[in-house]
Amino acid sequence: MNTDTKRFVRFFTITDYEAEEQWLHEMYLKGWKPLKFTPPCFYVFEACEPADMIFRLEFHERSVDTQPEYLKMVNDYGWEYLFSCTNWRYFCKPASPDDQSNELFTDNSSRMEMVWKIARRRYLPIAVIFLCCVLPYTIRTFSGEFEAVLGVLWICLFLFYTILLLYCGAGLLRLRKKFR
Amino acid sequence: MDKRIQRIYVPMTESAFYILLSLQTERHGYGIGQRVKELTEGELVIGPGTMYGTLGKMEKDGLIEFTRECEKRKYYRITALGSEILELEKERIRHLYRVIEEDEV
Repeated sequence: MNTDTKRFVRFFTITDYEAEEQWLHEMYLKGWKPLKFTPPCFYVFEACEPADMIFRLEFHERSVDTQPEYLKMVNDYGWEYLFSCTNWRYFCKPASPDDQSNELFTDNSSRMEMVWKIARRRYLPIAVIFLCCVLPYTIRTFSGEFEAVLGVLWICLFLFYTILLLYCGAGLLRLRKKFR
Repeated sequence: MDKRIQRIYVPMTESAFYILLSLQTERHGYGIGQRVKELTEGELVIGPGTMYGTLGKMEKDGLIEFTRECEKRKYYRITALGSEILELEKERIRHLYRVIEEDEV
């Protein structure tokens, strides 16, 4: 492959997709186009002509391969489909002076629907794993004989999950308020 | 008419109204978007994500039907039920207009 590729590490949570869109836009202005994303935070970019590109991420429970007519419609509207990763679809389009043309979703009810999808498919399972697994096990490590290594491990896991759940929970509330 | 359909579509959102109006002629998603933009003189733009979702719902509710596929584009048209609902909405708007006109006298 002749084109230059470069790896970047950047972490965005499920509720920070707007920040991710902004970051990808800034990267393209510097001449880097996203090629691939490997969760949780590994991006591969390829060198390109710098341009004012708008990025929009769409969370969808179905694979884009099952919706060829949707891809066609999106293309008709001027968007380029880049790739998908873990139910997230990456689209980009040259920026237009008309704000509305720079959006995949143009009303709050459809924006909110996507947020509900994220809440059901990503947030809820994490919360369930936390309540049914991490929390009880953390309590168990303290109720019995305390084993240093295991204890510390569970505390770290517990803290990680708690922070993640609180942060994403706040993110979901923020988005809900924004799209009311 | 299904009570549920009436509850959802009467009164109608502006987007839904323009989409149903446009689908009195067979069109595909982007074509509907273009027509709506034209009818509203650029005021109402329906993005592809919103359009796809709305068309899916309307098809499920029986207001529109899939007619054919051409070059991967799906074409739709309004159904009899859709026309019925659209007429109810048009009547509602006409009535609103009459009330406004009479009020201004």
